[in-house]
Amino acid sequence: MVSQSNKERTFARLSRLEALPDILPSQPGVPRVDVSVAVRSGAFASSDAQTRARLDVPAEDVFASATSFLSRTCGYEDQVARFAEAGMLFFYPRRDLLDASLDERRARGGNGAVSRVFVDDGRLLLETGRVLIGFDPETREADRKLIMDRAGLLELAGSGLPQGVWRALVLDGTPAVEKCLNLLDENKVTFAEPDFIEQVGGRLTPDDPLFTQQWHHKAIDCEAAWDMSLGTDVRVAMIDNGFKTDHGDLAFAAGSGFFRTTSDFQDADFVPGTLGMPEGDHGTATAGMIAAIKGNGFGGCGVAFESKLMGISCLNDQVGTQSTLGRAIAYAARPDLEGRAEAGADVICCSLGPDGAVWRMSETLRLAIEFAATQGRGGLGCPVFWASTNGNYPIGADEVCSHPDTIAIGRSTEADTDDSSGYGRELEFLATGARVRLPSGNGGYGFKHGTSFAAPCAAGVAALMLSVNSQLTARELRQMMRNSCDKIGTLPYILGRNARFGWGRISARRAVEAARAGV
Amino acid sequence: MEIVNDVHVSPPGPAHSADTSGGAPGPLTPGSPLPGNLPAGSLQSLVDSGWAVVPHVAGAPQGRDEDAFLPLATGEHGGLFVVTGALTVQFDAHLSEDDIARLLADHGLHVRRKLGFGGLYLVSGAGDQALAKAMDLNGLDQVSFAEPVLVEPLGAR
Repeated sequence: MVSQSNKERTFARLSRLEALPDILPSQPGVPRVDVSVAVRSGAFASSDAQTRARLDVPAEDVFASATSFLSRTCGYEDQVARFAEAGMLFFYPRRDLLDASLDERRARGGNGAVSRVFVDDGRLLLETGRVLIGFDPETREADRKLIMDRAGLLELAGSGLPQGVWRALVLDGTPAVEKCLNLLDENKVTFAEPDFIEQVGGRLTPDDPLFTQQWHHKAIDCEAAWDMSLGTDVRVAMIDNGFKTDHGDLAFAAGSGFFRTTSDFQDADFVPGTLGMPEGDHGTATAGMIAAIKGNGFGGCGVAFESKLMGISCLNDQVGTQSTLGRAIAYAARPDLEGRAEAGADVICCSLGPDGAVWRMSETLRLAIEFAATQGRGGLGCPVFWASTNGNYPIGADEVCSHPDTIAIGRSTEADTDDSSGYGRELEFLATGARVRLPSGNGGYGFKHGTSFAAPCAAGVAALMLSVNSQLTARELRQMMRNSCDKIGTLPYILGRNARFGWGRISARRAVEAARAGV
Repeated sequence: MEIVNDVHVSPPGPAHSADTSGGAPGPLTPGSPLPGNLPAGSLQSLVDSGWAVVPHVAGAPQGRDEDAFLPLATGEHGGLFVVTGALTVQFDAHLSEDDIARLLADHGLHVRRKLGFGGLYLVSGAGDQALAKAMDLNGLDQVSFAEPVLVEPLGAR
């Protein structure tokens, strides 16, 4: 069954594209560094003159340079500069070049691949004749080919694309945006979008001094994911015993706070903010896995270092009630339940629980998890990640981690193996959690080991995903994470999963790609 | 779930000092023989968090504030729980706040806090009879469920 929401999102995205109908790019070639430098230094008049001088298009076909318009007026300096570094300059063509076919444009020295220039959400997008199409997984091969033939599409090699996504060339001359809008009428098409050319910055490699020791970033391909998403402004709640809130590599967002047990142990009062927050080595590390600060010259960085970290402390003595734990989860999703006005979390993570085989869940905690998973994020639901038992036990005996709304995470090693944490059909997937380098309660960094750190790793990836596709429901996000796992280990995966690895080991890159594609 | 008759516990705080006065038995210390078949790991987690596990004696020994002590219970798989005097209760959705207050008062209970999710109420007043009160409430048509609020070891993974 095709999700209507995927189509609606794609349709909405394509419908809001704004064409810049009078602007074309030149074809890529020799880097135009002088134009780039002029743009970056704000010398816009100079950049226009240099653009005119460097264009390979004959002067009679050029009306004016568009460099300063896009850089200064539109605020796309960085993208324009980077396109210039790739040899592509933007200009206003004379009418007859604009009206010419792509082949004719190419013959006259112009760009024969780009038909139009669009802007969307601050991004310059160059329309080509290629499209990307997603099909319902149940679509038969013959039906897929029939749809593509009917649409006048030539299937292109699709290596590197997510499963279920095809790349194709439009043969009938219809612009790619309009072609995609038409394709969305097909029942079996889950999405269709132009294969735009856009400026993608160089691989983001943090320069934090301990980054190279944080092997987990490489293991789950964070750097490739960061090219697409930094988790900007996605709110991630980490529920733990306590946090070192003045750690130099952590910043706690509004909505952080702690539950202070009453003296009779029957109740707890919520205390907003970080003043008086119980300290804890464990929570400091789990929080750091998600959102340790990048680029501050200290420590390493988190998986989603631009996300907003809500640190929520409860059960700080490592004993407490599931009633309080449930309140912490419900609060994370809906702070108004505790009388607070802050926005709720988009992602919730908890690494508390016994390491034995059995954990019985109270009805109160069950209702809290279900509340967050269905009522959080304005009804889209919060994904709730939970560290599975570190012991070599079946997760099925843990009623919290085996609840259908809880995403149970096991830990993987630097060698990309499982590490004998909880197993069974309730195991969702593995994330890096064995000897990972993370912030410590002493203000420095240390090596941490446990499912406790795998779960926030997964939560960080979820934040990266929601940053590029904020309309995903918790269930859609969960399915995408499953589908995008790397199938590590030697055990066979039956129908996509096995008992020791779940759906595999999380891949940040593939998960973000899937979120961006909406499949 | 069964109440442990041999011991009870007091939370971290002044009750500890009162406990050892007046000749009453003192808290169990590491290495003390455990009463019954109590799970050592869970018991140790409580002690590590500052709770005192004290042999239960008939009557109120001199100098001991009996109200400061809470019952201990074991679960079906060896879990160890401190039974507080509170319950969480979900009522029939058609009951008004007044109906709920009256129903609870009939059982010596009162609303301490409305939790805001699942239609749940945190209810106090059960003293050391939380398990029995939960059983009573669960027998009522107007109650969807009632469960005692239990303190348990919930460590970091």
